Amino acid sequence: MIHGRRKLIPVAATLAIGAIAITTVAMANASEDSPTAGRIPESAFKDGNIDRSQIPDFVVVLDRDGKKVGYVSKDDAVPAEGMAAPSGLAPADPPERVYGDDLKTIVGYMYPARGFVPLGTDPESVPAIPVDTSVPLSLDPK
Amino acid sequence: MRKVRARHSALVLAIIGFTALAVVAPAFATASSAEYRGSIGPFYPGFYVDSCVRASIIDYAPRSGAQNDTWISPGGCSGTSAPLAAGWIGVNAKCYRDGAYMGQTGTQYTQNQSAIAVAAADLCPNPAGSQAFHTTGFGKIWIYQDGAYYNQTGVPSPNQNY
Repeated sequence: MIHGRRKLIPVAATLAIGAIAITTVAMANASEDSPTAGRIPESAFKDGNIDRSQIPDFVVVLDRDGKKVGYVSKDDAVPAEGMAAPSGLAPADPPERVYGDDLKTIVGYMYPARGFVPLGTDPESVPAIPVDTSVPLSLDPK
Repeated sequence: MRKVRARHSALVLAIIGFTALAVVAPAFATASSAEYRGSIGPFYPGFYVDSCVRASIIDYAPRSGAQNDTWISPGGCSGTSAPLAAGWIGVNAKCYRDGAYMGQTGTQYTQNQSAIAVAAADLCPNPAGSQAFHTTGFGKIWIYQDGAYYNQTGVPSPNQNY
């Protein structure tokens, strides 16, 4: 009986070490895979360039009152350079998804020239932001 | 005694003068604006073209703006403008306050110009206190050979604190 227990000790130890190793690797992977969320640091805007490497995976979104309402993906907040998919039409800007604190649940959308529209709200009910398209660029107050 | 009174009067006048100046001076302060430009190219939507995006922000209103100009020669951000067909270039302005995203104008495309601009007075509302603002311009240009638009990377304006 004692002899049998002695045989079990190395097996148990091996299993324990294996479990610890698996847990450690899993935690490390989880840490690496966890998306980052926050504000864009001032240092990312530099001398006419944007350093996308400094931008978190999800960027804080504010509504018209300056209240934090969620996050948009980095690619929506600061689109990357590159060729768009071939299309005969000029690409429009679809509403951008705004996620809650879990970075998964959609809580609303950012509409062009409207800003944040909570989920379930008719975007047409949100006042539009007037946009001028005069050339050359006019920044005179109106 | 008279000398002392005279000194007091001069001192009072000086204080009144400085106070008046301090009150009036901000009214005459000029609003500041700032912009950066960035160009990419050459592209060949039929012929050599450079695309030049600029992003601006100004400290009153506040107003955010972006413009995309296309140039044939010498290219970059100057020279002879490129007479591209309607819809071949576009520009979008996005605004950020204290590093948070607040919205975009949406991409506007040319009708029959060589440049297109967008400006919105209230993309980033400005509450009391001091905040850091950036506008970023994103350009689009039609690439004839690829049958697709090229998205130009964002050109951010300088920071404006107000």
